[in-house]
Amino acid sequence: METVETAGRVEVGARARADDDLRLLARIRRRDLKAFEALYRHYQPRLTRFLMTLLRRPHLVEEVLDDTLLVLWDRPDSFAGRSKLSTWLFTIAWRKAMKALRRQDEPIEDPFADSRMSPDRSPEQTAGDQRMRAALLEALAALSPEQRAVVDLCYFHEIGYREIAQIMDCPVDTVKTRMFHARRHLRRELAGEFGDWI
Amino acid sequence: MQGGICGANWPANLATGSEKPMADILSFRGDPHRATEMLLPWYASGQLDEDDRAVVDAHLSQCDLCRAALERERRLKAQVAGLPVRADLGWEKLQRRLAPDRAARRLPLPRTVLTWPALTAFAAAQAALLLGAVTLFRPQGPQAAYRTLGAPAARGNGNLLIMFRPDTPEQEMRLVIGRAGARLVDGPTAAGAYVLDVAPARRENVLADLRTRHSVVLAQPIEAAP
Ligand SMILES: [Zn+2]
Repeated sequence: METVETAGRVEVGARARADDDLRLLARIRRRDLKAFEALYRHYQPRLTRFLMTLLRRPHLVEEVLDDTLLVLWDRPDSFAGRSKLSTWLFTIAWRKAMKALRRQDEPIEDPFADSRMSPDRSPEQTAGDQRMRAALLEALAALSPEQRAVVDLCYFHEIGYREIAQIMDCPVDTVKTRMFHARRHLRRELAGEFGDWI
Repeated sequence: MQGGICGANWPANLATGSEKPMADILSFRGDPHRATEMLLPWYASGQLDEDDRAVVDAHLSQCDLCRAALERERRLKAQVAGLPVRADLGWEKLQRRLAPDRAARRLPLPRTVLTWPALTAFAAAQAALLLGAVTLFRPQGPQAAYRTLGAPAARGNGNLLIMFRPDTPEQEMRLVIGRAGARLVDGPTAAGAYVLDVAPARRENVLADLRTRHSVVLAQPIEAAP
């Protein structure tokens, strides 16, 4: 798992990663299944997290995830190398996820809308950290898919706003605005119980 | 108090909103604070462009409010990034899709990804336990705890795992299980999940139906142990 590091070390790590990716891609073009497995295993956890955050339905996540990573195997030449491989994969995942969402006949609703007002569901749950997590998950669930995507790409994947704009195919200012509104919503939802902290 | 504060007409007098989060106050106040506030998430992760970082640095050096906002921003970021979202979908399954003839006839792993509602529910109660329980149903996972739960079922060991919202009345659970035409095999597990058995041919439909139920936070297939 990547952690926050100094910019220099991140850059060195990123370059080594890009090298690995290109080597593996070259092997994939020669139909080397092991190389595909290596890339799959490397990017699958990050993409799954992104898609889970976005779609919140395991059956959709699984479908979109496999469809996304299969592009590597089926059409490795469609990666032109104009961006990092990770950016390219996130872009495909985003497009396919939005398509999958539009295909769903029922709208994604917030399953906890009516229980939000009673955060203390069980008497045993005492740890403040768990209450915080629960509140945060509920607040996240109420965001739009676009806002959830920006929050996840920024906070978890630590991707810059220009790259996020590329992934989501929107202006950079839109990325900033989505993040701004998303954070405001999260803070507002947590303010009652965790006002001092947040 | 609640209603007006978040509306468009933000009062010029900041003191009246002192118990509201600082981000709200900053965002409606004026340009330098707002510009900084918009960039803080990427400032916190070291992902700002050179120019933007210079602007933020300059403002932070002379604004206590925004420095405090940066601290809160870092805490929020850490908390969101640390949320337990399981991310282990199966390579094995995809491999079969790639080469169905060549792939070994191995049983598929049950899905171990949790839905948002499931996460919401269990984070409130017992995060660690549920993660343990889900792992429990993977063929190679530790199964000792599972075996100790209740008597073995007459027909099969169950092929479906279900979890209700913590506040669901027992009557409602029975109703949901009954309507699905499922038989209760085991549970509640340590994490509060139940194991059901349905006719294999109907399982996909039953799962799809269960997932639409308001009281159900998780409904997953369980594959038989090899
Ligand atoms: Zn300021």
